[in-house]
Amino acid sequence: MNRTLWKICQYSILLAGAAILLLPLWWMFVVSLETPERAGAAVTGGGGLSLWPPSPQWGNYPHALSRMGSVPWQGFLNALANSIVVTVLVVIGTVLSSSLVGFAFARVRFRGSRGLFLLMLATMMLPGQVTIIPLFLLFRNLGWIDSLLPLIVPAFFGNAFFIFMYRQFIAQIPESLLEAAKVDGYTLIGIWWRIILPLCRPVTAICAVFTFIYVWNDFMGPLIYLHSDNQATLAVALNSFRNQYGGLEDVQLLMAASLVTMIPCILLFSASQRHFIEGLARGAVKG
Amino acid sequence: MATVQLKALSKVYGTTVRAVDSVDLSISDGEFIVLVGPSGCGKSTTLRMIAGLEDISSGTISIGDRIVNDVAPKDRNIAMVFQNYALYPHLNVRQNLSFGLERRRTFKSRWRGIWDSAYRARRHAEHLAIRARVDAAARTLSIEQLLHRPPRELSGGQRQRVAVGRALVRDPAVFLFDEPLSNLDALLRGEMRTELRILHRSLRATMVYVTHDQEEAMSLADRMVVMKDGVVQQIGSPTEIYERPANRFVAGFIGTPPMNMFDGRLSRKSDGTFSFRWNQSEFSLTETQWDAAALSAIGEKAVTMGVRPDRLKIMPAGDTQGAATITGTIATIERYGPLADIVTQVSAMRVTTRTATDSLGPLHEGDTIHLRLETNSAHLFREDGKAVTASKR
Repeated sequence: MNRTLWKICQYSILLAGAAILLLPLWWMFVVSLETPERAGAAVTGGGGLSLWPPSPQWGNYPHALSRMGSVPWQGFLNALANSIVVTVLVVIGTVLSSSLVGFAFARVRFRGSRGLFLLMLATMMLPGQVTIIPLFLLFRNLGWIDSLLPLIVPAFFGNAFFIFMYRQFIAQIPESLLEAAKVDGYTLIGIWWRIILPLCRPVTAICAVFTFIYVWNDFMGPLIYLHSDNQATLAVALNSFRNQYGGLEDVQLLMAASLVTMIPCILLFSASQRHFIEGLARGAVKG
Repeated sequence: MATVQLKALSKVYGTTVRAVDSVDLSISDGEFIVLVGPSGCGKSTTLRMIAGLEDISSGTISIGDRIVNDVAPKDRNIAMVFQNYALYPHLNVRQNLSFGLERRRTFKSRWRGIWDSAYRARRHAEHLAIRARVDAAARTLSIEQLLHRPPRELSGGQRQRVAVGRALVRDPAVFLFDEPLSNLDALLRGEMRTELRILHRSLRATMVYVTHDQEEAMSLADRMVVMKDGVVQQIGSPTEIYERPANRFVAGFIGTPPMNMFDGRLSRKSDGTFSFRWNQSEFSLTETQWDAAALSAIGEKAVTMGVRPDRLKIMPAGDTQGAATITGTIATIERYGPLADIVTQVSAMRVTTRTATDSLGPLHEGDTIHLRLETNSAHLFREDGKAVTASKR
């Protein structure tokens, strides 16, 4: 009896927490389906929101998406394509380069490896804002401004945090596995590809999901390096859309566009969460 | 099939730590060599240098008639079995076995086969050949029914078989084993020992095996190499090493239970013959393998007499035939079925006697016991530890 009561308490607390966290999402969703008048009233606080709109305006969604950018639909599709290209390449680049460098730090003995590792860790202490201007100048000299390259290429040079994670994980893999592979005839690169990467799957899951979410939602980077409409990623396109339609009369369209932008992250997280939480816990235990 | 030659092989860590000190060893084709010694004696390092996993500080290693000092492990035509098996956890048993073969394929490219049908056919033939080799190795080790399983679903003994199988499919010139049985329980270890021996007989391959277990070494080796502190103490067949240990260390390390070591002195009697004095007793050395000349070369110095536990005879009380005996109190009696070890406390020393359980008679712990030291089957070691070699017989 006492136990049941305790369980009920626990669940109500958890449910209350979940409700609080879901409230903004629900609010976005309801507003995105409202008529302009009711949505505007809700934002200004003039009118109440119902749990479900009396007459859901599903047409808000195509309407909003088609009006991104100057040519109908094209702005949205362009931005979507750019976002996908950047995100996919950055995820691939980060996983490959970080695992390779982490492997080298964990298992290859070379002069200065310790110093280099510390230096790499030190770069994590540096706030990103500090490097904005030097990086911008660098990419301008390379002629990469207003292209997707400044967003993609750096990912192929590793990410300090993920390198650290990979290194810690790889350090747990018994040395004799690598020696066996050496005797079996594999080179270091072969060992990395055929043994290290498959064994690092939990770390790779974390690395991929974190990177995906970060890059997909990244606003600062694209805003700095991209100027033209047709180069914009979704985050930037959404911002222009907000500037264009940010008035109270069109808030339902802004909510609709924002929700569409969020979908991939939500899908990815729910699809990979089992892997992801497992990997996170494992990473915690194994250091 | 190949010979292996180590010439003045050394491994120095930093500037002073000589892990392996000038090892000379010539292994003939098809020989089963066991390197044995206490931990830290350099046996594993020696093996790893043969494998190419450890750099050589000085000296040379040749496999066949090729010096391999600077040859990568994969090109030395060796296969190694590791202590912790080192199976690839993400691959099943078949993939584990074929991992090395896949690497050596001639027709490697998956893509070329798409447009080149002749290439595709040869690639497929090669694939079947690899399958056949894996199947054959699996049959030899009776692990056929495990081929589709991942390593984590295997027992220790099964993992060990897969690890051996991985070496087997490669058909290498030299097999290297780094304490492969030390993670198995005693029963399984004995079983695998027998199988390795049978495997060696059927393959006739050169095998180098490292262990710290002297019994394992004795049971497997054609010849064994006893090492200590990076230095080879003795090389010889198990019988040779057991019967004629080169020094006090080898004598004490090889054999269970360990040899009893009596630290005493040589003394010359008035008639010119020598005797061994220990603990106020005197044992005549006239009827032994050492003649007076050999003994007088040593002089009246401190020496150690080593006697295997099965060479001490229990004397009935009161019937010591006038011969010098060792008298003490029985501390414990350990029975192992037909055999029993009697540990006798003689002043500060514990003397172990191995005897047939039947012949124990009415002896109990706490009883007084008389032991006869059979000097003609004893070993004599100089103060520096070197054995005094037999000069008679």
